[in-house]
Amino acid sequence: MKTIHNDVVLGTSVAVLAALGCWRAMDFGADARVFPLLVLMPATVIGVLIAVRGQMRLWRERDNPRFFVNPIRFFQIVFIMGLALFGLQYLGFLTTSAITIPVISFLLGFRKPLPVFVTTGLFLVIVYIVFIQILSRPLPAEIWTWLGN
Amino acid sequence: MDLFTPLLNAIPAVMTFPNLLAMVGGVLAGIIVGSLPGLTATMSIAVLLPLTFAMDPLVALGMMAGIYNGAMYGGAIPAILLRIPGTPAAIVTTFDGYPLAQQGKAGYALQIALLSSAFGGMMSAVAMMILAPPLSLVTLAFGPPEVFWVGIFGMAAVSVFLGDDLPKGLLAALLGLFVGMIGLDPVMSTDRFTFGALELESGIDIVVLMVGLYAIPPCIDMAEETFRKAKTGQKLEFAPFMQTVREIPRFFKVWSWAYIYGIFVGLLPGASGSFVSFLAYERAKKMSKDPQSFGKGNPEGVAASEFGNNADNAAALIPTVTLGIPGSSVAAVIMGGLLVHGLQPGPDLFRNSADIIYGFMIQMFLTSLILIPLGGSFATNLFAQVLRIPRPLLIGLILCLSIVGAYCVQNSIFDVWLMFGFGLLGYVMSKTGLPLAPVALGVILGPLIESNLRLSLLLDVRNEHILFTRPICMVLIALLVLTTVFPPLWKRFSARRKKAQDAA
Amino acid sequence: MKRYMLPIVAAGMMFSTAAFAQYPEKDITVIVPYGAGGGSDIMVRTVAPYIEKYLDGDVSVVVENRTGASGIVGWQALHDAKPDGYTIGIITTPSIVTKPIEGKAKFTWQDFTLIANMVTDPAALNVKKGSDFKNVTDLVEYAKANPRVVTMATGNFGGDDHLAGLQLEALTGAEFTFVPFPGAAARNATMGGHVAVGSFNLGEAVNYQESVDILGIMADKRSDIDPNIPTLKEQGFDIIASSQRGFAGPKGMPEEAVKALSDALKQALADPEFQQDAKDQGVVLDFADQKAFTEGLAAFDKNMRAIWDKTPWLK
Repeated sequence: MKTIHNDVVLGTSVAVLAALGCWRAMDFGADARVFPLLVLMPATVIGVLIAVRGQMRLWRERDNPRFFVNPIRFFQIVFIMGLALFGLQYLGFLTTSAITIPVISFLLGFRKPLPVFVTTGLFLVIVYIVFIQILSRPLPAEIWTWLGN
Repeated sequence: MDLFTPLLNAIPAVMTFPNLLAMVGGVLAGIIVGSLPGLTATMSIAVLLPLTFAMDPLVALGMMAGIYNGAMYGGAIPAILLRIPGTPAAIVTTFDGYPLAQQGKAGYALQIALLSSAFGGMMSAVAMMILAPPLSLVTLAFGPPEVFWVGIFGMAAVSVFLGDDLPKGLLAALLGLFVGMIGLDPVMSTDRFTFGALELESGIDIVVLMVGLYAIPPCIDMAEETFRKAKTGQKLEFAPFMQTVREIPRFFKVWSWAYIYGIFVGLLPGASGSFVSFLAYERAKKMSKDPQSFGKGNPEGVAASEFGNNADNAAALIPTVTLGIPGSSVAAVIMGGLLVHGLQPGPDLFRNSADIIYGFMIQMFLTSLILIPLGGSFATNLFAQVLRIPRPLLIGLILCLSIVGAYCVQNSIFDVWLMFGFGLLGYVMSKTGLPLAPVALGVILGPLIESNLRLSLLLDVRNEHILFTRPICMVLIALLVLTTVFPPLWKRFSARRKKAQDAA
Repeated sequence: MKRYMLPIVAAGMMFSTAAFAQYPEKDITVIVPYGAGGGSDIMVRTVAPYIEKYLDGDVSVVVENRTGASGIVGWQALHDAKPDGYTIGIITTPSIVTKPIEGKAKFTWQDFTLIANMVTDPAALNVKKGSDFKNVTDLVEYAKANPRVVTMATGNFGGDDHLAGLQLEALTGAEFTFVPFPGAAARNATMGGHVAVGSFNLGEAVNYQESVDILGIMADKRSDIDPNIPTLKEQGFDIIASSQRGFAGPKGMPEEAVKALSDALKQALADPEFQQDAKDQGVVLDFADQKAFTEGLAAFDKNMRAIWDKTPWLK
């Protein structure tokens, strides 16, 4: 049983960020700041409201919905996603995908090599045809193309 | 001049083999492009444009019409199967489409989406054929003050999307308005909340936001829930197609409203068609005898959304061909396509190239019609395979698709990180009970409302309060009051009277 | 074609140590700093096949859209690209000159290798068909008598349309209320009569003369695209303002590449088929080689810095 309600964290962070935003918006020109203030001031108030309401709910009903279903899994998957994004710039899109998809699948427990690699291959072919061949999108260059240079 | 003669004259030109092939190919390409989050009809047509230089103009236009109509339906496929909208216009389709899929009625939901998209597109094309010149006057009559009120009208629809927890719903809407504000402000070009990042100056693209908010959280959720055991997906129970067709009369009322909104918003340049489906959904829910069933798998919700987002297709082309003012970003690219073939929009187009322009209208109609067999059999069955992919594998696929989708919006790695950030935000939102739809609506409408408000104030050089005194503005304000303020009051009034009667 | 290239190649061999046997030997990427389907984008995609046709070598010209921050994102990418002649881009005035002056960009136009100018689209003053303003004098007189009552639709503040309007104010002492519309919406607002006058380029107006009257263009002489339209100069207002679109590469691009591209572009612009395409799109072609392009930008830069020092157009 946690002692702080999720809504308290949510509401407080929203209120603080929105208040900071208001403060920043004061520097904008007279016309440019009207809309930001119209949005951020109520957001600050609602943030406080949600935080207060959350804490009262916790005291009164001792009810606090669980945030993470499985925190380890959460951090694992987010870490891999971050790594994939980072690798994208250096390895290129297709190479990154060719690594990321099997890695995630193996990590999460689906480990039949044949379906994993066939699906991954199919995905890469579709991306190659649709994005590169037909729509000629300049995806980040693959590692083997620029290593060669 | 006889209304139908030019249409009839154009038919032979449309019914050639290369032309039909272009339309079929366009529709298929459109469905695929639309179903991939991040790829839009606008981008695809723009990129394919140079390929059409050598083609016969009508063949080129047929392909564009096909991509346009196909993409608007394609967006519904992942929206229903995975709760990931393929296009911003399909966000609303997730509300009832995904619950239907979870109840094992994914096939049925896809059929409803298909029929609604097809009829929406066809009816929109009919409006273009019959009423293009008079409707284009609407475009010219709507200046910044009028468009401002249309934006407010759209924002009023947010009430339906706020969910059960009012403060959290409002917070989500404010978040959307805030995100829409990032970048250069529309009048003075002041940097707002860009923190010096050049990439943020032109604002955050709705597609990047949508891919992040909608595609990443389910990946994380699935990863958290999937333990050692690989869970294979469910099947796609198709209802017999004719049975679904027989249900059509049920949707007439919902469709009619979606039609009106679709045509109207399509005519307004700068007002993106993405919010037509929000308006249509709101109306459908408010009209329904059983509003509680919306969001839990009511097919009328899917019908409203999908009819709405296709009903603005041809409508957005009306000001494009009559005045050279594109009603949407797709229409702008199609206008480019007309121009490279030497077809200058305007009255001359109807006089000098009647066969082509009326042929194009017929193509807009036909591509919607052939959407039914193509979308029904080929595409839907193909995409149904997605549900059979084991979850752990699906997560990686969705992730990589999100990356490439976000990247392709402006060819920017920055957008990929932005998408990832929105993904984490979306995860926090879903865990703390903040609804996602108001964010999207805020991002779409915030800039529209702010810029038109400020332009209106600038235009009001004689202090005439043009926002309130121009005739169309007054009509819009009256409609706004009638549709949003009156119904709740009336409900309360009639409830009280009923109570009084019961007491008596 | 081959014969024409020989002396250039020979000259190139003398000055550069790099093995530049033949340019081009691979595909050329053109960075367009604006969105797919926009005016600049369509122009480049239209001219690309002609450049391919006139370049000596079987290569493709690939368009890459790098959008954001009114062009700065794309130009930064161009600036940072390898100066090997295989990544070039579109630069547009006034932004390429004014954005650095405004302090929004980390580069100036001198940080690029200019290749050639392609389009010079003069600024124009436009009114709704049947407006009371029949010429620029009418407009200026009325605006002088009623300060700030005349609304003028423009693009973004600091863009060419706005700068053109400011120049008119500075010359005549008239005062307008500028209303910045996004994209092509300024024309829409003018056609719909929501503003008194619209400041947008000739290319955006010339094909819409059924709904707008073009009071005058801010050019030295009348335009070939429609010689019936008077200039402001002949109406007694000596203002020159335009939006130029040309090709440039990163600083330090090989001379041979510049020459080859410039020549291919020149030939493309002389191609009657392309000229017809351009006319249909309302593109006002105006070829200028590296030297003339550089001189033009330098003069414009000087002018803009003088204005910025006195009255900055952005606050």
